[in-house]
Amino acid sequence: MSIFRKRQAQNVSEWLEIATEALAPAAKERIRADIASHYDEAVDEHFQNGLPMPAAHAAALAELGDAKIAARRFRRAHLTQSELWHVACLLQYALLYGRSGVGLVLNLGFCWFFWLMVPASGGRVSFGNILGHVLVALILVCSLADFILAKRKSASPIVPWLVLIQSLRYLLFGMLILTCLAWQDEIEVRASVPLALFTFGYSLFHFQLRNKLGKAGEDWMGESVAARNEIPPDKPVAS
Amino acid sequence: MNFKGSLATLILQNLSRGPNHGYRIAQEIKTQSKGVLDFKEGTLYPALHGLEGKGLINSATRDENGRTRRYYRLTEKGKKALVREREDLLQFSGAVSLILQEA
Repeated sequence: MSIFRKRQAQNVSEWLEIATEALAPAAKERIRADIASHYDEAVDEHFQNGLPMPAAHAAALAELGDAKIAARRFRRAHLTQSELWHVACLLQYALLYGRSGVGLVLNLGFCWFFWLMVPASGGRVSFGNILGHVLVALILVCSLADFILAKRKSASPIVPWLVLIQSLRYLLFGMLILTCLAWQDEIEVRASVPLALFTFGYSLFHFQLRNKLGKAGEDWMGESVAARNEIPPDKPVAS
Repeated sequence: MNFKGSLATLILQNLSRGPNHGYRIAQEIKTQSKGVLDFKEGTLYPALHGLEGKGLINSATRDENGRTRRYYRLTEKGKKALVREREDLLQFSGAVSLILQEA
């Protein structure tokens, strides 16, 4: 018997457990309500069409299809537990450090560090030098926007913007590293290729998170605060 | 039949006739296509939730005969998207038909 045998749901509870695995509590609740209602309707209809009750349940379960495929699709449409935790961290950072100005000071320090990385012009106008300075300036603009947003009284509407700014900042940082790589021959700069790739990946993660936050009907704001205080990342939530 | 990608358009088309709940949407798509467009109903909800996330539909729960049903409704943005998607899909299927008829 293979240890990699595909886990198949034997009943609707198991199907829901697989389909909502790793999702944030609000998403789980929403999906459970939708699927449970759908399943009950299907069972009733099969029963009214003459199937005995156990066969009606089996038919309704079969019609739902593979729970793993549904889980993959649900994860594209809803926040997962770890994404929720990430949003909570961003929110906490904005509230604690952003509003006090500590975050701005840290970001200015990072900008100065990035500025040191810009390829030297050597007294001539160089594309690498100009591009590097433009990128540092844009990173600085992102940091200022971050600070201004965090100063707003209501935290709820700012989170998607904070996530978007984070995405842009990491994207710009990745581009800055690549600019340095293209115009400098120093080995320690070349060693930062993995860092550039990481920042691009992290930026992409933020962009897709930003898209998910646009979702209607989920109380991710309240949940993210609870997640930060109570639930560690990747810990499954008891149903 | 695999009709990946067009499920969203079929859902929007179904909702253009008025608010509907998930189970009925699935049954009506299957019935209208005379069983040709058969899909696993568990994949209907990620599509519905995705459309809701994009603001093309919205939803509200309603109690009927002791059962809570979530009704989905097309938004103005969804109506515009349906017009575009329907045109694209009709153009695509028309082009495929032309090629297949020639063969």
